[in-house]
Amino acid sequence: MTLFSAILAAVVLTIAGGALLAWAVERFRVEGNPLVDTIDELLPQTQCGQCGHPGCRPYAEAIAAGEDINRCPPGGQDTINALAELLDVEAPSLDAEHGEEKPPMVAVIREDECIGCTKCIQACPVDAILGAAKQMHTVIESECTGCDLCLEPCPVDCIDMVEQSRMPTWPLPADIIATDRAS
Amino acid sequence: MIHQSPHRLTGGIHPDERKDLSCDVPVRPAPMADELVFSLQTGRHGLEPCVDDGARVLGGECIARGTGSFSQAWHAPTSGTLHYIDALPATDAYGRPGPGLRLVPDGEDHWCDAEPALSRDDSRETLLARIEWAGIAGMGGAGFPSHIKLASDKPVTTLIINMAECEPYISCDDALARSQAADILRGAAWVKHILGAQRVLIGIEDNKPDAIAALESAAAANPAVDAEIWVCPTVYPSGGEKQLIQILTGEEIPAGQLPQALGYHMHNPATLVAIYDAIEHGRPLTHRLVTLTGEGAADRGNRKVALGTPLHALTQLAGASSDSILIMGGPMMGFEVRSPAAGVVKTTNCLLMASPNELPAAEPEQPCIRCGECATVCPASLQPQTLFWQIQADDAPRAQAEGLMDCIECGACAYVCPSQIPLVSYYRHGKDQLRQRALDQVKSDRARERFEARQARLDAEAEAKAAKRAARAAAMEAAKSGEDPRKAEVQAAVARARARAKQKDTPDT
Repeated sequence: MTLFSAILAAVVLTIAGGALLAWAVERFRVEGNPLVDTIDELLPQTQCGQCGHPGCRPYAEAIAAGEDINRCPPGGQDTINALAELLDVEAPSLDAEHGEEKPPMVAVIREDECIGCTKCIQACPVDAILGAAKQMHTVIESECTGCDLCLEPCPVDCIDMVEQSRMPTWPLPADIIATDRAS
Repeated sequence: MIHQSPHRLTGGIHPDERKDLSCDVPVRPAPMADELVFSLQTGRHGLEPCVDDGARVLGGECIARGTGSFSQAWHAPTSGTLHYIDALPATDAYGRPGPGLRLVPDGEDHWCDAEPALSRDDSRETLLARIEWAGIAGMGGAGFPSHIKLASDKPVTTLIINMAECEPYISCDDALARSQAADILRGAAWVKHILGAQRVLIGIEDNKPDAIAALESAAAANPAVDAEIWVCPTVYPSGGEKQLIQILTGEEIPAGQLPQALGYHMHNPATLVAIYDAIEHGRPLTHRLVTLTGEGAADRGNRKVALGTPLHALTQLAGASSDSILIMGGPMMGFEVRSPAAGVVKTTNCLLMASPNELPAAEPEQPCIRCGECATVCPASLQPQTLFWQIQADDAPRAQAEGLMDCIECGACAYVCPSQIPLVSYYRHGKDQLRQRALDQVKSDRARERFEARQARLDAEAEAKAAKRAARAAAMEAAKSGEDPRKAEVQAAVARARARAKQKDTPDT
């Protein structure tokens, strides 16, 4: 009798636990792969395609599937280090095949040379170029990610890449500040 | 009522005060310079001129306004002709050239009519709008717009007037208290009214007995304010916002939070006087007291200076020797002036003209010997040596986790460092990196959003195209099979009608 009730109790518990798990799987299902989101957060969102993927999100998906993490030149070593820390792997150096690390750039259209062909507008991955057919185009500087993708399609080569204007950064000491001279 | 503050600062140092160089001379007005310059780079979003190039302006007229919510207007300190200029160095540690305004005084000093005085019956919004109009910003050093600080909706119990002035050499708040103590209290009364605070504390170091006496008699003459004077020992940096609150109340403001979180509001006395002037006299902020001091200067003392006065005009006025080192602010937290062509701004409390002997060039940096001296003097209870290692290793995020952003850059650590490590430079570098990182993060988040929005739009367009193509293909198919598309339509309509009739019949059968 004791043996029977013990078996019965075990069976009931197993079924109840299984049912609970089955319900929880449905109830708390995570849509998509959360690792891809976390990796995507770390990528610089330049959307330049230098990694060989059409944008940062596809590269994040590829990394989650096991691709090398050193193919993002705009992110540079900082991004590689952050990815390495996230994925718990050794941080490699940037794969030179995909480009070299450069300071952040923005595209500038030489407006008097622009013929209004709209080709750069179609190439821009973040819709940062404003203009219409046969009208002058211009780059919205604050939205431009400096991806270079508008240079290639321009038939009159009127787009320049210039360094992004950034906040000044206090130099590491070589330069001496007043505080250090106080006696 | 004078009280002795019962609490002490964590850490702190005792540098040579050197206030006697400037504090014994009474306040004098500085003569108007040949030209005044106003940088339009001031504030978070920059400023826009509100008069035309070449226009004649009167004293008190608004010449530039903020473009964002952090607006801080410039007003002309005298009448004259205004010109736009391109490469005016900003009055900050970086001195980057940018757009500015040049006012050439005509010497007549005509002023426009003052705004009407406001009264206690006016709404809080009216009072704050007046403070915003007057272009008042924290004059103790932070330069934060006062109308925004005062508009905080957190309940405030205590207004603290920061009279500590702990930095060596500087004596402009001391001079202000001795000459205008009554105005400080009138300003405090307005701020107390705006905030709905119950208590007013004046925190002051014990090295300013004359200012204490002046404030005491002014407080007795203005009982409505009910100001309590709390005297604390002279320790650097007791004048830091969080530090002074700790000294006066024993409470520590949590990391990353403002004093408002605990119901405190701190203001510099000069800001209070500016608020009083704006509300009761309808005058904008156009002048401030500046301490001209240092062994390199011949004529030291506190001067009432028009905002926009170029720093070289002040060095000339003080008779600075040509080899003196020019520092805006004090020797601890000030910065070396990159270009003397920059103008006096609302936060210019002191211009230190130090002789080469007074501030000798820093000795070469030696390796850190882990003595821990910096940690004992840090008023923010940080571990300066670990912050230094992390920033040196280019790991600002880790330094942030250890509290880099709570560093007030007081320089106490660098002052005591036996290895002469310019620690504050490392912290500023690390903080700037973190700020840049935060900006980059915002930008990349926006780029992601735009990329995804564009992708969604392209997908929707492609789908619409595909649907159209499919419809066209179906039509072609129909045409190819020899049937007239119109005939097919008629047939379809007949089929539908039949189906409907059949449905109607079904219930009967």
